[in-house]
Amino acid sequence: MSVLRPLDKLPKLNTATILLVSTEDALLQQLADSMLREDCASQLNVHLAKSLPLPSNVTRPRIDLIVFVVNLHSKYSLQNVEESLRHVDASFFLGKVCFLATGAGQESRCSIHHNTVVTLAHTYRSPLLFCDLKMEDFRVTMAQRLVRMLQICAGHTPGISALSLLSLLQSPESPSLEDL
Amino acid sequence: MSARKRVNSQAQRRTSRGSLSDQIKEKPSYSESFLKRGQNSPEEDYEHAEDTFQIALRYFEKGPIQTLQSKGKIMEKHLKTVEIVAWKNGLAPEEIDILLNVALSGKFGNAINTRILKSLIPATLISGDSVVKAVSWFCVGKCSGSTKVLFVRWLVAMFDFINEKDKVNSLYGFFFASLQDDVLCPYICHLLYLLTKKENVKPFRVRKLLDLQAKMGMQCHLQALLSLYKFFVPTLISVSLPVRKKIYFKSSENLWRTALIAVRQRNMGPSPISLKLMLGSAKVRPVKRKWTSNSIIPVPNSSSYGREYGKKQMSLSDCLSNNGSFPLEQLHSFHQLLENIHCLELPCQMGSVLNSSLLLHYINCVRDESVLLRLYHWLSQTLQEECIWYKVNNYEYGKEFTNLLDSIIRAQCFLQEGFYSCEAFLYKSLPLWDGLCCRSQFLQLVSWIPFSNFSELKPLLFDHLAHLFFTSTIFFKCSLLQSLKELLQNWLLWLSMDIHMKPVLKSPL
Amino acid sequence: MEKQPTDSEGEGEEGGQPQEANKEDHMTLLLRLRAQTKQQLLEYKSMVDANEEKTPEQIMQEEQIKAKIEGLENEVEEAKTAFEMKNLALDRMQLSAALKNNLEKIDTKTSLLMDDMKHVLELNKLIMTSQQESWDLEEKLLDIRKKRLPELKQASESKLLEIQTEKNKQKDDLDNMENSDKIKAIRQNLQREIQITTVIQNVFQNLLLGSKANWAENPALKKTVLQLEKNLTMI
Repeated sequence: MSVLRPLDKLPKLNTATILLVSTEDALLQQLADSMLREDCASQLNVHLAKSLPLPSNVTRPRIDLIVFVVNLHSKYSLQNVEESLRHVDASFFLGKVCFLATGAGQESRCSIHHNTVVTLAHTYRSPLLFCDLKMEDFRVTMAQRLVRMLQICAGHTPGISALSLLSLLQSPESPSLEDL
Repeated sequence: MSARKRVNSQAQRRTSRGSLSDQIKEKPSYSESFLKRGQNSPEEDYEHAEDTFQIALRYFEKGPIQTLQSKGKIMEKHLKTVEIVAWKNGLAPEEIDILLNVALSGKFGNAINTRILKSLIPATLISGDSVVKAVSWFCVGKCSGSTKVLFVRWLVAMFDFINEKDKVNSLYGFFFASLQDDVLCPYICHLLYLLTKKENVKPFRVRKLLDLQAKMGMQCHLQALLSLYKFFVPTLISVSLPVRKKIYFKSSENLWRTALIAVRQRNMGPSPISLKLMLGSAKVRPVKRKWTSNSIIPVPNSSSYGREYGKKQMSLSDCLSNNGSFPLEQLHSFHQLLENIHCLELPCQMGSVLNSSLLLHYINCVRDESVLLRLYHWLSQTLQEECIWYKVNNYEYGKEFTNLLDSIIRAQCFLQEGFYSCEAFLYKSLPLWDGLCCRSQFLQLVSWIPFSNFSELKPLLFDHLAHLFFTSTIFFKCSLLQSLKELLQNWLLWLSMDIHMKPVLKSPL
Repeated sequence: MEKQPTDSEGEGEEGGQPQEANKEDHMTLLLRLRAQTKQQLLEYKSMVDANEEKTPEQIMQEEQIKAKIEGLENEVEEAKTAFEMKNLALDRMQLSAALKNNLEKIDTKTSLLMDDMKHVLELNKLIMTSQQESWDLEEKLLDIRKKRLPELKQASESKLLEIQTEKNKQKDDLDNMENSDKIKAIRQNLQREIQITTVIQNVFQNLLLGSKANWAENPALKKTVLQLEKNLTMI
């Protein structure tokens, strides 16, 4: 069982690679397309995977950012993500992992509670983003955001590293919004 | 498709020839309403469709025919006709009258009643009289429990469209008696919340509510009603209600939501009518239109109930002097506001004050807790329902939502204070915001957050903003910094006011 | 299961290094790559350093670790800011030295550099005047708000209270006339009647409810029912 390690390969020049992991194929494909359409000075590689571990017969460049996409409407995608998390080395969680939750807007169809993903992200000390990937405009803005994060994680932005970004994005336990 | 329709109506014509000609003469308006559909079929088709609808209506009115072989199919056809007409153009008040009676009188089965109720969409208005008759059937209780629930939900959803609300208010006691039923209770509470006036708050009702709460425990709908009672007559309720509890009724509009939007849009004029009352000029407000162009903020409509301040006994001054309350439709100028400021009655739908600067002046002066409470409740409900990133399909209504946000921000700017409902809405929807949608409005809302501790604000507001800030463009960063600067300015201005002024902003929400 | 990687064409370039500089100048690209490589080297170095450190013997509480992390983060921030400022100052000195050297060598009237510098100066002046204007306007706005806010809140409230007290005074004057006995007797009777009628109202309402009758069918009954909620003390 191969475990993903962040710095086990040398980076290719001017290249940044992101790995999107989720059971939702269609959404990932669309997100990947939006990301590739973004205007970016570096060359982007987008890898899509249903789950980890990745097959070891393919050579791939160094992975700079892993995004786990959880669909709040299906418990299966959460389980899948939790399984895949075991195949990621601990040093990846120093800012090179991010969680993305989709479908939070329609509360009636959410089978996973909002707080579950929040605790998951908190346990792994990684940022959690919300986005409704089915809507085109929201997807495009999220793609822009991911591209910026990717550039930072790949070291293409001088002066800021993945770890410093992580410390900026860190949020302590937030109070339950039901109290409002 | 059109050929088949013709054949059907031909068959119908043979069976009910006599009454048909009467119907065509009676209701010529239907052909007009069908013309609006913009189809290319010739006019003959309209008359056939109109006939089919009329026939369907008469069929339902007469009641079920006992032993007819094809009863099921005919019934289905008639139901379909009614549904199509209702969802396309809405039903006229008289038709709603007939169908309401049919649905609630229990002549037909449960499934049919449900379908009828679900397609009761008004074209313009619902007359209070038909509601009264329907409630009478409701009391008779021949229909099933689920039909009753659906009827109450329908009332709540269509509340804005009911004409002559005083008639509905006079049935308050009947509604109140249905609180006993556990299934009906939350929906009745919502209806009562919309319906309650100060005169309806009576001690025995308060006792009843408290008993119910003791029996069923802390239910948020009962609490909502109790807090409303408390603010109308604080002396009657001694139980302490939790502060800052969001009053939240499950939105029961979902079944009729798209249709309601269509109705509102249908009723607006061809050009958007702005109802911002200019100070000093008497603008003639067109009486016929009842909805603003934005279709979310309703028109101020004074409730023609009694006086605002209830007295235990009538005094001589009441008899001698004319103390009638001033109806809001006549409020056009600042001068009128000043003359009648002591007897002005606030509209049923509190949201309508957002567009009227005169009413905002009034709210600013009055400082009555119940007024603010009602406004905040309306705001929180509306923002919850209209927020476009909750509803995937409603992205087309983005413009309406931005207009609504603009009006709210203008009102906050006018009153120079922030609304708690907006604050709660911000905290709830900030994690889901993508940073681009309605950006300037959202950032302006941020700058109007009322003053509170940093330690409270940090997890709710600043952490989520930080997420957006560090991963966005320079433009967004600058806009955010600008709005935070304005937030600081607002706080400083607010704090620099006289300390002796009593802090009325601790509203229990 | 993995899908094949989708390669991007960033900015329309094919493959890695562009031979023809489409949008990006060769020099700029090299500088950017240099900064990239530096940053990546820094990251690798820090990982190597981190791995060499021994883990501490005692087990610290999570809270202590968090507090320590915060402290360290603050230190890093401060060091970074100081470093950036120093870098900035150094860059500026280098830039002005290079400019000075360049200016000594070239003809001051026709060079592109002079034109650029003049343009920059003009823009700066424009920016400063606009900023000054906007600050002045903001000041004025703030002053107006400062004046208006207490008026808005306190003055309007007190005015309304005054109006209300005036009206109440009028009412009180009228009330004082009421103390005659006759009116008191009339009022007592009226009260009793009202109370009786209220009880009847409520009893009738409950009777109707219990009887499950369809009261809307009878127009007279309907009219009566619609009156049942009326608060009689108001008339």
